[in-house]
Amino acid sequence: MNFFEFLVARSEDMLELGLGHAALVGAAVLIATVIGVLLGIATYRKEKPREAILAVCGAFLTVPSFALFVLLIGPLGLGWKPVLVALTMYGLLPIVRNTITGLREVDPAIVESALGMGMSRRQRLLRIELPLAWPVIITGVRVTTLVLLGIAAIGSIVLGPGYGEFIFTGLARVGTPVAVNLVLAGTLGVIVLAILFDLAFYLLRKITTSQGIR
Amino acid sequence: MTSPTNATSHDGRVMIRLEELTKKFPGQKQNAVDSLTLDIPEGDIVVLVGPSGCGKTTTMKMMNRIIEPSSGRIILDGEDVTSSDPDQLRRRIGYVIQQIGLFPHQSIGENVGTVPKLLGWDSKRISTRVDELLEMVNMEPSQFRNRYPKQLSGGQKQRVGVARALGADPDVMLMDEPFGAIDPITRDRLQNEFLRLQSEVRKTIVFVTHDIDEAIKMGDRIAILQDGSHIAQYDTPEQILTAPANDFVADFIGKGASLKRLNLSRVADIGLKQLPTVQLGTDREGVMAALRQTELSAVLVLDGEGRPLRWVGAEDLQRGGGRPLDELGLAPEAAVEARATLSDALNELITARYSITIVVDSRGVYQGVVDIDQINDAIRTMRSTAVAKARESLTDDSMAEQGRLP
Amino acid sequence: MTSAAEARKHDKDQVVSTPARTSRRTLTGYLALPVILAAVCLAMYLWISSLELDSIEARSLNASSLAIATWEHVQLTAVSTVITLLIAVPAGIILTRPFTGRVRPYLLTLLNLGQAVPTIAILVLLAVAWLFLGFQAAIVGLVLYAIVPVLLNTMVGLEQVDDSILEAARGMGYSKMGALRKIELPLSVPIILAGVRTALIINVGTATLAAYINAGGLGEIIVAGLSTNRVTVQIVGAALTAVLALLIDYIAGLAEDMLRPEGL
Repeated sequence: MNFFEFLVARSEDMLELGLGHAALVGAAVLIATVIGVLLGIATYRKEKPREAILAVCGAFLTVPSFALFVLLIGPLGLGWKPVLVALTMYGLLPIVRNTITGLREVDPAIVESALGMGMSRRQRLLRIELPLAWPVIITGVRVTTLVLLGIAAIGSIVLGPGYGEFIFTGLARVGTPVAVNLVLAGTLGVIVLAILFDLAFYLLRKITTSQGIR
Repeated sequence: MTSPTNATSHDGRVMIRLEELTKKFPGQKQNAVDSLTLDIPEGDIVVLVGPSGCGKTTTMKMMNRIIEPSSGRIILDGEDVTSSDPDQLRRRIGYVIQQIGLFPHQSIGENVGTVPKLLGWDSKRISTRVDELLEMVNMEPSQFRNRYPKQLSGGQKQRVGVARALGADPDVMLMDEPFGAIDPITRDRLQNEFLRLQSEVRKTIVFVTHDIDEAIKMGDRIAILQDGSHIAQYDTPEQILTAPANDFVADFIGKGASLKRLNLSRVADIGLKQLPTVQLGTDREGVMAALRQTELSAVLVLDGEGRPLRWVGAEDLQRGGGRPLDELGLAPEAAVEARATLSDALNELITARYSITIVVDSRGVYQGVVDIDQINDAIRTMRSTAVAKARESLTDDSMAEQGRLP
Repeated sequence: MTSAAEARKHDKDQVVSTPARTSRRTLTGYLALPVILAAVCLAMYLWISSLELDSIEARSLNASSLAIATWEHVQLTAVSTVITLLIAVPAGIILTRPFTGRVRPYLLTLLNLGQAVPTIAILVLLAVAWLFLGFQAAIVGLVLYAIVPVLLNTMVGLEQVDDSILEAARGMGYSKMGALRKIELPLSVPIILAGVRTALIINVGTATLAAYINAGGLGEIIVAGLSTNRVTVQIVGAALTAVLALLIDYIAGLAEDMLRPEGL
């Protein structure tokens, strides 16, 4: 059976694993974005908290994924839960970092004129600073998504859903003809998802960014 | 230090009153603004000018409390706003800064409509107001409303900045070096446009600059500030140029104060000199008669409408034979209208033949001439009036001081 | 906007930007992490000492096998990092020269997508497709994966060198090579150092998976714990891996702070 025939034969599995993979990463990105942007907003103006939050998120990303998945089995058991939590933790750094950078890069003259016109702190943040920082923030989210797609494959070690299942099954059958097909199919699936997500972010960014700052 | 000459003789109401306003920044030894008391009359442009670091910008930013004062009071239109809600206060005050700070992600229309929107106007009213404001600053609404700031030139951005500050028709505008980042030619045009606009809207404007020439051009009143925002002199541009209160002011104005002063008086303000003229078609004897009366070596020939046509001298008459007067002599190149400044007149005079500037009305009809003696006289008169005024206000001040004593 | 500036803006869109640190770390900042890591190790040691280990657990959890696994892990990390840098930094320099200007945005998009390729897939593919197993296979896999982020880092770093500085340098008579050597590279030192750190972190993490292709490392302890269903072994393996990764990152951070040129 060549690779193409294999894909056709296992197309249902491919779709199912793909949906699981995408849903897991999508959920993790969503949670990480909400938490990350809020953390960024809360800390970007003060140096100490800013450095502290970046150091903590950086430490999350430093812990090897394999180790983190395994450590989370204890409190969360097997399945999608430890994977979701781990992915969310990994996703935080790029988002927090870009939120802080984006907000800090807003031209102070623009913020001052907003202040001078009588915008409250909240109005300045929502109407001026966040929209201007948005392209930078969404880039962070995009990078996070790509990295998490790759890491999610390792989640199959703790029985998380996704293409990792094909890869680890292939590893278990090393030496058999189907092994290479399984691993290739899993890898291809992740890459296709990456392209789709990237495309979606490209469009999202285009739609949600004012043409004045494009 | 000599005592500051506070402006005393304005008829208008006081729009902004600063009372012993002081700002001390943490970690600095000296007060950035040190117990400043200043009255800003309604409808005037008051320019705060001084060397960098003198505290002029800090002073201005305390008026809308972008910088909170350490002590003292700010009274706006009779109401103490030193501790009122700063956001509400700022919506009543237009604000223009040097970098302009247009919101790049919003269209020109949205930018201009910012304050009305903050005040909760309905969208129809906002859009009418936006168009009105854009027209006011000479920008065709249909063409510019939907553009973004990055699509505008520096001068256009500046105009939008002014329109945005006028958004909800505030009584007061604060302008921090608003023309500072613009090339000199555009700056001059924008300054003129702004003065024309101000003559219509009559806002109370506080204007900060470090450029004394801009201050003289824009200000109804100028406050020259020293370190700590101490007032070195607070007066009209005329008074400051002709009677600087102390050495600091004289130094700050720099050389050429008299020349700058000429910018502030108009030809119409001084008496014109009358010289003999002749009508086109006057015969040779008539011209010769006029030539005998004049102190110059030529007479001015006017056309049927009374517009200057040629300078014609005795030599020209001889050499020209019987040709008509408008083919003889020289064209009168130097002519100004009566509303031109003395500086313009002097400028023409220097290059003109016979050292004379012809003055005409708006239709070009001859009114008289200006020569160097008259400009000289004008300067001398200005100086003596200014000195007299300064002396008078000094006495006023000292009498007031005495009156206040128990 | 000039096309070069446009291209650079586009490049910037592709990466995670770092907010500038405004001050250097305080002494407490420097000491916090080692103290925490030491405490974790001590706690783990006390915990294991208090347990009655069965024979399977004892096979993994003894000083010599832990030390061997750790040493293997460090070797995997170090070798792969050196090779990664030898390939990625020169490649980054070449790919930022003007002649690549046109393709650069596409290249960056491609490299970014490459980050999504699962590390485990690269390692496993080497094993199942070519039956390439062991230390060397692991190094190949680690390097293949780590090249992408380090390359991205170097490229973006070099491009961030202010155009006006470069122009001034050329104006003063620096040759192209001279400007690269004397201006661009020194100004990019912080970015390249960040690349070293990135490579280290990625490799120390990925090296955990090398256990699946018989290349040793701390991953072996975790895998042993998983396959024998011994939770204690799993936790110790995972915790040690985490401690090692954080320690390596910490040392790289120290080096970064010390090697950064004055004034940057």
